[in-house]
Amino acid sequence: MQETVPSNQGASAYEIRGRTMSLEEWQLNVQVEKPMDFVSLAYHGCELRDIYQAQDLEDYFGMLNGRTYLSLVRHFWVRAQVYERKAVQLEMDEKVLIDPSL
Amino acid sequence: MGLEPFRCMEIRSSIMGIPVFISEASISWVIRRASEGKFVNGLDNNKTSPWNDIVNKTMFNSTKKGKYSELSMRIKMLLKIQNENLLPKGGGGDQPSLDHRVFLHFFLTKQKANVPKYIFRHMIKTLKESQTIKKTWIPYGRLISEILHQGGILKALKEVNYFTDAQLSTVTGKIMNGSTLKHIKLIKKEDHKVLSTDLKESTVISNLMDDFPPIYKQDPLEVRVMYMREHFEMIGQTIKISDIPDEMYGGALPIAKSKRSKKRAMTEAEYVEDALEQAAKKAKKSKVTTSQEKPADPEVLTIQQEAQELNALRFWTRELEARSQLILLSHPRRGRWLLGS
Repeated sequence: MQETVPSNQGASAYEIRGRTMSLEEWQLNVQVEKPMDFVSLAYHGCELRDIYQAQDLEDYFGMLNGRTYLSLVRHFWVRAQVYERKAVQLEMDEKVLIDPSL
Repeated sequence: MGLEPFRCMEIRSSIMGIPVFISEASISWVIRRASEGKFVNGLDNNKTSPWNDIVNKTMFNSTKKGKYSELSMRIKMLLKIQNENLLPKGGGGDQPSLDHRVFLHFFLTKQKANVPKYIFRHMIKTLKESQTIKKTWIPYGRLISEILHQGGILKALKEVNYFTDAQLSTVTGKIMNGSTLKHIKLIKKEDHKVLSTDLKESTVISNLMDDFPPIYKQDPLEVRVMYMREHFEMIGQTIKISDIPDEMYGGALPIAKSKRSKKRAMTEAEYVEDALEQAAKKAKKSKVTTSQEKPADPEVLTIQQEAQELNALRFWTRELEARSQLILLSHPRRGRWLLGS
């Protein structure tokens, strides 16, 4: 019993602050995608453009050469929650229980 | 895989209280790529899966699973790009899972894979790992930033004028090119050549305001006026009242705070009252002194008034200088103005 109490306290502490994990921003490493220079790769004998053109991903690779806002990404991540159909349904059921008129 | 419609599955979060949702559809929209194509997930390195033979045929041109070293340069590079950009892995790029090998198989055989769905599912998987097993790693930093940008979050932050790139820790990814091939020993060192066409790091300036005045609306009017005047003289630009933030970013500067608390914050009305009172006192005093010698004449009074105004001016100049020092200390970027050229 004594073992579960502190972990519960920890959990509620971060939930109150709108967080979905016990990790703090500073603990997280952001992996930034690498922009691709397909021209240079092709010159050095590694032609890949046809492959990504077939996947319709030129815009995606073009987008990679831009700014990454590490602080915002970390801020986003520690507050992010996955909503699936199951989770949404569960939440709705709870609301109905609280207010049967729904 | 018979999954529920994308509208039912999303990642919800918020930035500074502004809600942000990421779904398969929003990824598809940001990377301008329809959310369509093949999607295979959850094979869990199953040795009996018929996919093993298919994948081995594509990657190694054999029925058996080969070694990483047996792969061609093209496939090694595709795998590297996949591990860095499309389905980022925290490490262990040499041994891709069966799911990842199937994804690669789609690329090699030019069958369209549902890239937005792959990315979204991978993002969800890593998010859940952060929540459950405290994995301290966030994939898709650039993609998430672009979603925030296109979703208007950066615009909203820009409107409050609170942030600079330094505060948001802005970075740009390292470019993969011929020197990457050299680095991972796919080509010889002497075979590498720097080309004039080589892609450079994006020079696009931040989407955020890059400078903003180190004053705020709670500052006394005089400070604001003085600052704006000085700024105009130095830069030749006027600061609009709408450009001034309501509060200093992160609250008052620590030193300014302690200074303030000693003095107690003055409202504009109080300041005027105080100034009037002091003026009256001085006037009285001067009257006493002057009345002993000469009756006060209007010329003397105007000189006294001027002297008082000068005092006030000196006071605020000092205040401003002190503040500039603080700003220089805490925000070197913004202090640039005050240093002149």
